[in-house]
Amino acid sequence: MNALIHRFRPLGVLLLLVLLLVAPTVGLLDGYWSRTVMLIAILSLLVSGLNVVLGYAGELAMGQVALYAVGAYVAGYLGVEFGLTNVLVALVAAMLAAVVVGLITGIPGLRLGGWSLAMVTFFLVTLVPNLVDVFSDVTGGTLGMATAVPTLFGIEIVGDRLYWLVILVVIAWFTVARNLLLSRHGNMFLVLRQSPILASVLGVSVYRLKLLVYVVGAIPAALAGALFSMLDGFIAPDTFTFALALSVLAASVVGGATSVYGAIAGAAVMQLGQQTFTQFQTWQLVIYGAFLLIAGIAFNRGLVGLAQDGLAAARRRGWLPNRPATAAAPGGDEPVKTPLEPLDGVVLRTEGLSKSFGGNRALDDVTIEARPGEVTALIGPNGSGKTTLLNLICGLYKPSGGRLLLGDQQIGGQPTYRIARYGVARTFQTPLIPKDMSTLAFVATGRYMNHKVGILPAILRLPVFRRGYAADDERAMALLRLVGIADVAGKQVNSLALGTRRLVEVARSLASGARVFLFDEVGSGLDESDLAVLERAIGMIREAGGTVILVEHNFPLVLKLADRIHVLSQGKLLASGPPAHIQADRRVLAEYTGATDLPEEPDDAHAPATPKGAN
Amino acid sequence: MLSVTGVTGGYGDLRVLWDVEATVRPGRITVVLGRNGAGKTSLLSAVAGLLPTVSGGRIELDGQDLAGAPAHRRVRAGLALVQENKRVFRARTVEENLLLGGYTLGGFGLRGGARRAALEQAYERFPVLRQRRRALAGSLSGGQQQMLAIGQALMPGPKLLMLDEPSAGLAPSIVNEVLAMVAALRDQEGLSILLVEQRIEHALEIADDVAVMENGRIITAGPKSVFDDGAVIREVYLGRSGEELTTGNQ
Amino acid sequence: MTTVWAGLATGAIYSLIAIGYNVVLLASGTFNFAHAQLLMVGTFLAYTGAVTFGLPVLPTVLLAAAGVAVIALVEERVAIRPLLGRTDSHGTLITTVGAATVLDGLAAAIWGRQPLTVPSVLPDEPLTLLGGTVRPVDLALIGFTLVVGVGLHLWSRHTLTGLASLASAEDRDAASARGINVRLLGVGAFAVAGAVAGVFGLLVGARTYAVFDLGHSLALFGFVAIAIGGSGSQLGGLIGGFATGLVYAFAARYIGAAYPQIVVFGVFLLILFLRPRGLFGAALERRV
Repeated sequence: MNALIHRFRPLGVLLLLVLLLVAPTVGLLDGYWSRTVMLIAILSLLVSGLNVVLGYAGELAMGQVALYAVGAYVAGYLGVEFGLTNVLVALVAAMLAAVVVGLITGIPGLRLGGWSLAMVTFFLVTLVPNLVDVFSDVTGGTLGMATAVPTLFGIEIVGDRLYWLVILVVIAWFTVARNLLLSRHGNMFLVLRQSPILASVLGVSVYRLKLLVYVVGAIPAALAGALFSMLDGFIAPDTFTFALALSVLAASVVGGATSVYGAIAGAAVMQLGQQTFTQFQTWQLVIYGAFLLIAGIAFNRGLVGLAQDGLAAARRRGWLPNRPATAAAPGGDEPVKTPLEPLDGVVLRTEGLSKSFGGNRALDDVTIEARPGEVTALIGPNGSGKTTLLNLICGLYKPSGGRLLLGDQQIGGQPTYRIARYGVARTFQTPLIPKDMSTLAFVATGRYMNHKVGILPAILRLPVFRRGYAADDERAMALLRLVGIADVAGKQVNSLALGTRRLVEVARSLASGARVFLFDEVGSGLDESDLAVLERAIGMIREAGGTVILVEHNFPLVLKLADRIHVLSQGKLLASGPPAHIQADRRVLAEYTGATDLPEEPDDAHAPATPKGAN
Repeated sequence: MLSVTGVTGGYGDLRVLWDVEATVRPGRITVVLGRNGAGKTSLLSAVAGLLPTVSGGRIELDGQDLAGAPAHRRVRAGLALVQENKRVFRARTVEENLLLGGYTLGGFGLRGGARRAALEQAYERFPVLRQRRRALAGSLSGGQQQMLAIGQALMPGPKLLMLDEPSAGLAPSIVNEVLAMVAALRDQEGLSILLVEQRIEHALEIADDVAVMENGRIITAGPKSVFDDGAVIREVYLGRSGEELTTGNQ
Repeated sequence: MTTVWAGLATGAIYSLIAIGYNVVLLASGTFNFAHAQLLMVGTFLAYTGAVTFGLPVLPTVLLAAAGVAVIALVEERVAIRPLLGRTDSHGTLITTVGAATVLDGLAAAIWGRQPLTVPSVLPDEPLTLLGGTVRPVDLALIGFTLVVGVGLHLWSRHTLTGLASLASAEDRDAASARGINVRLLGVGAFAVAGAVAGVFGLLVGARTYAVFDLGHSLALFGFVAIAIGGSGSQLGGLIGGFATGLVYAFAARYIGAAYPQIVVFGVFLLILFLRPRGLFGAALERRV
């Protein structure tokens, strides 16, 4: 029964769509309702575009209506002025125009984040009447313009044919949106929204990815505009009002901004509400506002979120059949034995690296070298500059002085995402873990920068997408096994305990195939068995030839793992050497424990006869 | 004085404190020891009312239960916290920082009444702050920022002072100075103190009572005399194997 | 010079919006999109007081101030407080737009969609000043805006509450560890911002009419003022507002009636692109 439902699900969806397409022809929908369906479909395009931006890039873009106008006027103008009534030409031209407008507003609007984009796009909506007025030769000014009858290869697209066109365009867009959002790219958008720092450490330029998402979100709005101009046959500026912008926003949050199909639900609620209740006009704004308030506060995942919660609850209580377990992790039960492929480690060197915050010199003239196939540990009391040094290496801070070299390349001062792409991976003292993502998918985001599947193959679900996806999953699974937590692969990553989160971060950093690994307090909060796994994993990275820099307070762990230890104190390098050397250094002990009664020893008196702990 | 019983808490869905018990006795210094990530800072945050989620337990200061009270009311009740990392208002001047420390003091005007007296006292305690009173706090050296942070916390005349790693990032000479001052606050002013400090030997020199944390729990606590200097503590910091490793060379 | 006066008078309104944004931003860390709507409600309350009830100036101003302050408090309670402590940051992006929309809708339902003329409290004969003409009521608007902007700037640096507001803007946790009731401060900021918006209802309404969708363009131009002045800087917002008003007035005078919005939009994009932290804002490095 269960399997039956799931096997025939795609077929069922297909049947429904066919039914929707033929509904007016076979008399299931009269003229009023087929127009209503088309209006809902068009509105859902606008809403879906906003969902992409709001739900996935976390930016509020109120300009869907302006892009809607752009699409309508571009399509209308081409038809009236050049006789280009072919709907395909109109749709493509509308998309291109949307990309141009998206870039013009997105490039400045996304520089700062927060409210900037919202205001820029909001401004764009209020400019529509002015621009229509300024370009009245082209747009017909406030009086509006009548559009030409749309055609496709000589056939007039009207009546049922227009209905089909609208539905097909909407199906096409939602397929694109679904395929894009339910892919590595969509996962990366989610990471981006929740933690820009994590996204940049994963090798993503936050600014460029946000711009990409924003421009993608502009496209359906322009398509909707073009379709609307065909549906109404007339374009006037009073269609593109701020109230419409608000209804799009309300539909987005009502449907659930982080869902693909929520847009349709939200659009239907708005459109039907508007048509059904005559009081709607008077109270329209109050209703939109109330929707925004309620959805923003109470159910911020929208109707779709409510439905999902309801389904999940029903499944838990056995009212509904459970989904078949997602194909069991490939070889999930095999014994844990995953040798790491060779890593292309590289020497990381700092030369006189310094960092000041105001009058506070957090790092002062530090020169260290971390070699491939070795574990280089940084120890020192809190506040001694260890994390500052890591932040400098991975580009979250800009150095105040000195050089930072990866091989022969000077990387100091470069943006984080670029340093990540050179092959520098890191974990965080407080693990950065996103919501709404499985552990496996999160570890696979570590592979994003070498993810070979572009956006287009993902949208088209080409074979290369399936192969790439499977390869990523397999790799991620192997890494989860390596750190001994394969059993949590299918769990939500933000439901894990602190210790497990650290191991997930290690797996995530390994997934990138990095050359240099920065582990920040990766052992803290781990219990004995987790620590053993961690030790083994770090040992493997070393054997595979990776360069490991370890910041750690757990002294025994450091002694066991490190090939070379650098001791920092108040931002300066206090001592460097192999573990045995450091262990015997009384200044280090004093630094750690605060002992002052120990006599100072000359520097060369340290080499103990039997170095213990090294290697 | 301060008694914490059965406090559990954390950050959102992440738990970091489990059923924690701790006490500070009047006029004494309790030192909390433990590795990084053991939950020491979270304990201080929970007492100060800054830990996002605290479920259950009591936090009593002189018999008054503060567990449900917001952070600012706990300050009025006599708790003062010096947060780690010399967390002063970096964009404000030294004097503004101190005045903000006296926010809960009554009196008319910014520099009026009790606040003026407390400011004067702070300057007497830390003369260097008087010299730099108009400088932005962010431009001070690390040691000066730490003095400012402590001076700020002392402004309202608290009953209990909590210090989170006051020695972090400071030069050894200044560390001694800071910890000596902490001891003086107890000896001369009778202040009760809860100290989180990683420089064990320094901390033990001035401690009266010791509590050891591990994985979000207090695993052992009592007067300092109970602890054989070193053994337990070394175990906490260096681990069982660490004990054997460090003694291996001596 | 007449254009300059017109620009300054319009700019004063933008400055007021920017000041209102900043008051709330500094004390509670929230960007209150609905602030322009508060000023819109202020103009309607001024109309109700002066025309419907026929009250003298002072009671009208008090009525508007108290009324808008109460509305601002309700907004804080409904749209802001439930989201405090949430990690997902774009909640207030939605709820403050929602609050603004509800206010728009209620104003339209209560007072209608037609603009209402708010009487000018001062004589209508224009004065000739520095070679240009200006209505006394506009002059008063400019003057009072300057007083409020500079006054708030000084207040934030020379009173305990003002300092506490700056401190909590910098580090909320550290501020509450010093005994500052951060939440109350935020609520107070809403009340103050609302009261200021109400007080100016009469003067602003005399210039713009009372109309339900006044808030839209004011929100935008107020934000442009913030973009120019740098967020969180009262003096920056004051200057930014006047600058925006001048750009608007000159574009309208010398390019054409359809253009001032477009020109201001161009300036806005340029500033975001070239100096995203505002002309007076300093680049701050985030600490991780």
